[in-house]
Amino acid sequence: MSFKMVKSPAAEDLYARWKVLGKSLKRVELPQKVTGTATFADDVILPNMRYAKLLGSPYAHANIKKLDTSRAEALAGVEAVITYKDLEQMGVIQASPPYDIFNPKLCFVGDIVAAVAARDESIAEEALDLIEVEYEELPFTLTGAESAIPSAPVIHDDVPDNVCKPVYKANTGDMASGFSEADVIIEKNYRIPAVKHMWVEQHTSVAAWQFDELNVWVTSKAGGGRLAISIAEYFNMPRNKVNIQPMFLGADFGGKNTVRYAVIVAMLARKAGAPVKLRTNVKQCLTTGHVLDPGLPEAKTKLGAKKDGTPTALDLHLTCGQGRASHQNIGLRNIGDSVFTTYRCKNKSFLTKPYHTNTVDHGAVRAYGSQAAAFILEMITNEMAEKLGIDPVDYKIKFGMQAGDTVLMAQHKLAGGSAPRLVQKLAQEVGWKDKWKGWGIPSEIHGSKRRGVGICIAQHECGWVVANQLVGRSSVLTKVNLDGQADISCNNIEVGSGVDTAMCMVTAETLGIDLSWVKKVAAGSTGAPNSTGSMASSGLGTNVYAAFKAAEDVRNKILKGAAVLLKVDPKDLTLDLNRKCVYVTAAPHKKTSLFDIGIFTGGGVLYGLGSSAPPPEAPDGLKDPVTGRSLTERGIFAAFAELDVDIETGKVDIVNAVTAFQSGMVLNPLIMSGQAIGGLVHGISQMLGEGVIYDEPSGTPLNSSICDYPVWGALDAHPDILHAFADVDPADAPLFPFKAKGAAEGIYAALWGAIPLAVHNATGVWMRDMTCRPEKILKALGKADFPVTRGVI
Amino acid sequence: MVEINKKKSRLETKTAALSASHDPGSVNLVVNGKKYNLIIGDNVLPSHTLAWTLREKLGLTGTKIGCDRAECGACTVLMDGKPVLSCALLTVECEGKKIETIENLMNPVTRELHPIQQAFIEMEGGQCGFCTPAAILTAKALLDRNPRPAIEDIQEAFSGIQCRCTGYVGLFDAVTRAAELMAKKVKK
Repeated sequence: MSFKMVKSPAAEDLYARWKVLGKSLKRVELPQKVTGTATFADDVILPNMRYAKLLGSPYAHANIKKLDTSRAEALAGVEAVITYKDLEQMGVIQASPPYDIFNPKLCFVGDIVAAVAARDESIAEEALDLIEVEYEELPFTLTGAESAIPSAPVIHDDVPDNVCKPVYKANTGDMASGFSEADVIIEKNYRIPAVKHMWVEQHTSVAAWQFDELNVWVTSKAGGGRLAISIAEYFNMPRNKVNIQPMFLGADFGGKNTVRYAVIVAMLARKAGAPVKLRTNVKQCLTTGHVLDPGLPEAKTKLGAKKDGTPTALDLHLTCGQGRASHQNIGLRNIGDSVFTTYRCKNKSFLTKPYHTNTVDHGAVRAYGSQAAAFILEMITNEMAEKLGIDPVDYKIKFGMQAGDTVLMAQHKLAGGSAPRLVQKLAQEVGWKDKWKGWGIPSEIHGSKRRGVGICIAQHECGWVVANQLVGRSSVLTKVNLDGQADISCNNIEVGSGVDTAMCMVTAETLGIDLSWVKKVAAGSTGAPNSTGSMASSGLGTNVYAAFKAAEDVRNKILKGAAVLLKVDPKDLTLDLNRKCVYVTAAPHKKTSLFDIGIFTGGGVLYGLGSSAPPPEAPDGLKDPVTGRSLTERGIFAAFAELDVDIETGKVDIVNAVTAFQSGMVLNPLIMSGQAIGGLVHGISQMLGEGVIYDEPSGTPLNSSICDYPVWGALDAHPDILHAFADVDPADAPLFPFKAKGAAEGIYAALWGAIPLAVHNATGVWMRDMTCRPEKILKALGKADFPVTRGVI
Repeated sequence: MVEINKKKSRLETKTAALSASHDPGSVNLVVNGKKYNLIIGDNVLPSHTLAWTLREKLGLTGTKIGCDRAECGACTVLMDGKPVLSCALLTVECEGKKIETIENLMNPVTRELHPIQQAFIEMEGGQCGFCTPAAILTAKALLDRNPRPAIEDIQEAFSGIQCRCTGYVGLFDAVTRAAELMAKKVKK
């Protein structure tokens, strides 16, 4: 593995000025993680705690006709059984369908029928078998196209047309004249399977009531504040009585946002009168969590172009099956953003048709739609480039978007970054000119193996939009202790991205102390400032920015206090926490101690409060999307893949994979390289075969285990074939504090475009159903005829 | 029962008093050098896995349960020095076994970390940290039998560990670094 950073002179200059930022410093929480002392939700063991199990629906669509829990309740050791019948008595106000907790109408295989708490897991499991349920099976649908038919079964009674709102659409220019100007028009359909996060830690919740106060430990990255609000609403209780306890998260990738399990466990704990823990198993995680939004999309894509490749019109029409529920179809919106942000074209049209289906919910999976967009947009532009005989790198350099272009549903201007520059640098780095022999010509042939190369550009929300919406406000409390060391508190959750380390680093940089002098406090939802959580790569724009503002605030307060004691202006003073004093800059012998400042002016406490609102520093005249801001930031990515396809077996072997990103300054190269390689491997694994397979007759997910869901493992990930490349220039992140923006999600997304092109280069076939699984490649090569299972498309 | 590690517990005393012959109503384990006599039907049920007993009964939560079906490797502990999946073993099957968990690697008094732990911190060998204890124990078993492993040896040793965050390279770098640190320690 190699991680190469190419720094602009401006970047070199900034790095030289930083004392802490930009250094490869060790992750702050790793000592706890390597000693097994870091607390995850499942590590919470409380006195008298009971263990929960869930009963899932065996049917994709059914009404509960009869439900009798008496035999289960009578089993020795069972302490509580809850179903939809318990909601009213406990005063649980559940959100209306599809966001409900329990419902006598079940909408997918695995939908939760009942939950049991018992003295031992084995007793709880036994009790599940004793719950008597009579189901009325209903006809079901698995795809958006099926749900769209007027005679399709209605999934939610109050949504007779099955349309899963909101419906996103956007247009710019004149499509009719765009296509009439075109010399060539191509129209293709692309499909994407349901994709799962496949973290190792499964959904887990522990709940314990102390009279009317609720303590919850839950695998959610939502940030203590946001989750507490949600749980308080379900139980109709004040927010200050719901304490989301701090813990580490065993990875997230967008999958750990759900509140459903926490509410169920809190209900069980209330009924049992004892703390309750629920650790779902891997099958439940796959069947009751959520999978990628867009849901099983059929992407009707049409591109018109001049002979020289200039795109004249781009039309994308997505029909999706969004499952029981989708989280506001954000993934679809993100695809729309990508359509308007990747390639320059005057006339664009984007339309979504999302429908409810009888599958599990659809929601965020790493890059949340941008990966699907990368696949669709790269496929259609590559197919066009092939038709016109244009080198794909030349195409991307010529038509890729850059700073100044109008982006994001044609509403905003891109403030920094350049896809053409990044792809040019990547092509040079990997020796594209020598490797690319032309369309339909493999770069090498060895026996039955054909070697191909592919390259891709992609982009993704890098935290800017989230950080500038109300949901994205984070706040941090920073306390400087009288020994000069600092602790920072905020109820964000460290999911593994390194956000805690980054928060500590900006604090250390701002206060002029060593990183080891800053402690990130594990804080619960009550008593600590609220965080939005680590969502949509927004950590740098929210939590880290708030930490910077808090450090500035405490520094200013200390200087102000010292100014009173020294009778000088604060701007004439220098803070030196290492020597625990403040001195007059021009006369260093005139000083006052931190102790005196703290005792006489700070009431014994030196603290600062910072918030990520208003939005990060921006040049004059910029307005945010909510209030009319016109400039925006995106993370810009590229990827290169070189691979061998065995045309006898269909197997793909990665020979060389390089991820390239342009996200402004890299604040910690050690952590960034780990994020980059992690994203790269995730992307490769995804393209080579991941995807949920639904059984057509029953709607049951067939590969709901780690063994059956083919994830790349240690034997696949040889370090010599995996590389990362960072194009570092502060001008690429002009709106962000420290000129750095989120990166790891887009790294994963870029592989979605690079690998299909490499497979095409090797074999001449376009994998329009996305994943490059051996049987699908063989089928595409006309060497085998397999029945296509619904779900893997 | 939960806090029995802290001092010589009643159970340990009882274990010492027992004759060498095994009482069929109980299970004897040596976990991190400490003896435990677990009464079947009380401290341990026949259905309990070793992972469950270690975590929920002995409070050794450094061992993680991921899939709970022998697929992800997060529950890896060392049994008589070899890595085993503790979610796939019943506690009652482990009579007389020596178990080592992540909690045994650091010296709790001096807080001196094992070189493998140091290497995992140095090389970004963990991100979310959930598979980290299992990865470190896997590395220990490997390095104890092969102090200078080739990358392919490391890959093979880690083939039972699922890690979604690091792309494995951080883990491999950490193992290579740990081998260096351990070699230096031996020289000293």
